[in-house]
Amino acid sequence: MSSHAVETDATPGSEGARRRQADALEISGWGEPFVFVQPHNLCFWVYLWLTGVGVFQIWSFFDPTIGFYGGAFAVAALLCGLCGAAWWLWFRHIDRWERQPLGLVVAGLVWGAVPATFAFAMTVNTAMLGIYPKLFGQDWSANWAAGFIAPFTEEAAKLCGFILLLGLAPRLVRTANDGLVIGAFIGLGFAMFEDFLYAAQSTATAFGTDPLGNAVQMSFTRIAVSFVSHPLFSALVCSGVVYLLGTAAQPRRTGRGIAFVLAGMFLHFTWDDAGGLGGGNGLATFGVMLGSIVLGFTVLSIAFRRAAPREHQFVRDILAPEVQAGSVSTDELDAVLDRRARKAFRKSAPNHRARRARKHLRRAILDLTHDVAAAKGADTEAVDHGRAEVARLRAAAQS
Amino acid sequence: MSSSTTSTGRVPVEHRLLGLDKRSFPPALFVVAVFLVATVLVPRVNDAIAWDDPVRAGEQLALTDSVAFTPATGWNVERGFRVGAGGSAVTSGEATVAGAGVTFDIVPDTFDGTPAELLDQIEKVTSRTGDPTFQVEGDPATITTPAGDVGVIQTYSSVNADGLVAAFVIGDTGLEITAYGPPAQMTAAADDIHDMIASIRSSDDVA
Repeated sequence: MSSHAVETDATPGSEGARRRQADALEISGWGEPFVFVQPHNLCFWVYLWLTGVGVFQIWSFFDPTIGFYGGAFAVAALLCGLCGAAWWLWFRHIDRWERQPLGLVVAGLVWGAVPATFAFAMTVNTAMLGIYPKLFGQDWSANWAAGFIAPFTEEAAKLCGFILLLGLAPRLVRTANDGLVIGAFIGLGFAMFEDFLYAAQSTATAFGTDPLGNAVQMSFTRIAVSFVSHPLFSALVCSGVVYLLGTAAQPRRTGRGIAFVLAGMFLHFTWDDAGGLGGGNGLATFGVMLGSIVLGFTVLSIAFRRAAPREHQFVRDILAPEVQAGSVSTDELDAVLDRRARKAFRKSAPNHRARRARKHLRRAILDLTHDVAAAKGADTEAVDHGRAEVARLRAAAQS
Repeated sequence: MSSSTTSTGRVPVEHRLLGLDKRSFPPALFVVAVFLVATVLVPRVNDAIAWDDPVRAGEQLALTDSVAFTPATGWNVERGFRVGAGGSAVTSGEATVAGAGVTFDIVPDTFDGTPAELLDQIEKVTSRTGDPTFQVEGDPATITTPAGDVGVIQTYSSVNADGLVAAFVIGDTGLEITAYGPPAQMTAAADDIHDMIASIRSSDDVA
């Protein structure tokens, strides 16, 4: 992992535009497929081994109780699964630059759900929950143990998946934006299984007299607070690690990297220890949670804004030959990448229909970028179709 | 083709070791190291640290806001909240104390029914979830605390341990009490166990 600056050839003319495009494709890895099965890659075997350990742990954990609480487990799995599916759709929606290949995000999700949760976190958390009361007493542990365990153990467990994916797809996982998106998917897998685990464990409350009711109640409680959760923490930590390591597409930024990693861990701490920080007062606890939400989304939007310019430059470079050929205009490209230009572009539409078409035009230009990247700059049927779509929507946007 | 191999699918010779790509070693070994620290080293540290939180004379553990019991002096508090200790967002809950080779545990939770029904529920849930070999023996006996609360008590056996299980229902709170350990230690600690069960009391100003 080097700390090369991103340099592309800005020579005017058709040859210069082609070179810009080729450089951007080489550096960014846009359009690269994800290959999971890599027998030559030790990361592949470690991923398989630890996933196997996680599956075994899941089986050991649930096997004794599944017969008795099976119905409640099924309902909890359905509710947590639906919540996870909603987040999945949103994360796929915001993954608009280099769209992460499906295999890569599924590998991230599975890591978060199985090895990170069951192979790593459950064992080490249990041990830490034994150590803290022995060292600092029961009262200290009740207030602070969760917040002084999870930000270290769980963030490390999830980060391990990101490190393995870096080893499996070094050309795909290259930018801070990749860290944000893949980190979010790893966190989503973790959150889904953690929510399910909480719901499953709640079946035993009240001496197991109402397993279904307790599982449903716990599922809804976890879903209600799921918007500040592992996806947010992991997105920040993984993005920070990309800055810390530095890649071909992301020069090393140590200070920024440490800041994002610590921000992810700090939010995990304030969220888990809201009760302790609130001093046992319900209103104060709610205030801490509210503060965490505001801080979390502020830091996340800063992280996305800081990550965007590099992705924007890749889009400009990949589409350089298209701009030169007139398939996409500079104004349209600005409207895709710049928020202010986008608003002005949409506002200047003559009517509502044209305004909607301008919104769709943005997506069509991004689609064309992905098609061009997938074709490595060649003229393929998909690229021709992408161009035709841009032309069609442009006509609608002007009418 | 993976990004680490040539178009022939081979790893370049200078990066090859036993058919594997050496460039994939640092991330993979980092993850293995974190895994070993998390699942081997930290649990061993936990095992190496002994409990050292003995009950002092006069201390009580709060099971709920209004129910408490007096653990045997000198036994270690492995879980639980001392009455009136303060400084914690949580002030009551499950209590576990251990001493003389015996573990004594009380789980408080909501329950609507009689102590005998609670004992049946405990037996049903424990034998069908945590421990299939769990089996109560003989008929339950009545146990009455000096405070006037009436519960039921029964011995049990399982492959994990033999011991006794008792159930109380105080207001809308059920208490599942278990004490287990090797037979000799259970016999030696019988008075302490009885005293701890008898010390359970309810009041409105415990916490």
